[in-house]
Amino acid sequence: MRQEVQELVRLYQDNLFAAAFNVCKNAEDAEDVVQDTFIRYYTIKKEFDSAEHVRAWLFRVAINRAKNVNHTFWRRNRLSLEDYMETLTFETEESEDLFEAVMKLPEKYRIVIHLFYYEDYKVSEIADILKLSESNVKVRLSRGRSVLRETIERSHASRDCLSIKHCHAEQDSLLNKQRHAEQDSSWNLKEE
Amino acid sequence: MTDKELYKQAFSALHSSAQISLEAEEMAKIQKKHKTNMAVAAALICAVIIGGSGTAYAADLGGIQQKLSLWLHGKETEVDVTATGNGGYTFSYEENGQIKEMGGGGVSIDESGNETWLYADELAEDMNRYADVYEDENGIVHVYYYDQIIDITNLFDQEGICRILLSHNGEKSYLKVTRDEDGSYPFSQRKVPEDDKELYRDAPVE
Repeated sequence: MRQEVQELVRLYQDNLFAAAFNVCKNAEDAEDVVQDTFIRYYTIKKEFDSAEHVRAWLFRVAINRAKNVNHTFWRRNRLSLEDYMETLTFETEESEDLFEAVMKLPEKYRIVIHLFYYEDYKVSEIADILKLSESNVKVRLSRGRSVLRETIERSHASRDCLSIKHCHAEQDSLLNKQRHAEQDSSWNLKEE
Repeated sequence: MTDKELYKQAFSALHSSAQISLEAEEMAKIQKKHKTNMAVAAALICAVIIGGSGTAYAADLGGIQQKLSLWLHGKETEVDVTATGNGGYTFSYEENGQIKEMGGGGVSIDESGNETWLYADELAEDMNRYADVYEDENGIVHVYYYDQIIDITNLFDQEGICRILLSHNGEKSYLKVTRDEDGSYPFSQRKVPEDDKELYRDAPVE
């Protein structure tokens, strides 16, 4: 089976962009990767088993393309990640912290985490897309979560130190304890 | 809110703003452009990987032109190099009676992670130091390395991986090429083998 490119663009453009961005951490490169992925689909003479097969193939191509971009080291006048993040609108401060923490993860953990948490792929499906063993995906997922948890905790601890300098220490301490308790329960990164 | 919901909320800030061209003619045109860009990118892969030991230089050479020698498809080719002024260069050369151009640049990264633009001759030197892998219209996959043209079409294992040992002027490097499902051939070239050394065979030179 084949799907119309128009339909695929409508369905997956943003998702492929997010996956590519997750690998190459640069919006311009990620846009190129998305365009290139659709061109690849348009030109390849390949029959697919199902819509899900097409989706997985698109992600695989986009991720591989994004990895190639990473390996070229070719730099244009790029917007830094920090500058690009300033152009994004996050719903909450917590979202921004999480986004930043994910971007600090090593690439091999980042993409596995993204496919699992954003695209709702199962471990076996991620293994298929990335051509890894399931156990390898599980290890990356687990280590990625662990690093992510540490990064978020460090970020909170650092922010707490700053706020204590500016506010009444006792009151802050109490508030921080409450906040930590809330955050610990909400972002524990357990496999769902 | 579950972890997945938190993650989705965070990454919902990302949106692609590119206008994806869907007209057949336009797609074909873009494909051609992308192929050129990909070739340039491939040619520049190593420029920077090796640049780790590079030194800092002034970035803008202000349009200065020079001639350099590049190994392209197994042939030593003279190229005219023009600095574009933003750290990049345009390389022009003649191939099969046609003037071809490619553009690009590279950065070196020092131990502290500081990046500096490479000089054109450093770029060329590093480009030469790395192999290129191309599949021709007949499906023959060649590795180009200095003056060597190596047919690796039948050297891929069942997993679609080809590992060969390259040698030039006594310097050895290990090349691992992967045949990807999407028709591309990503590769890595290292002085230390990525996989078990025994898996690499000597390159059969044509």
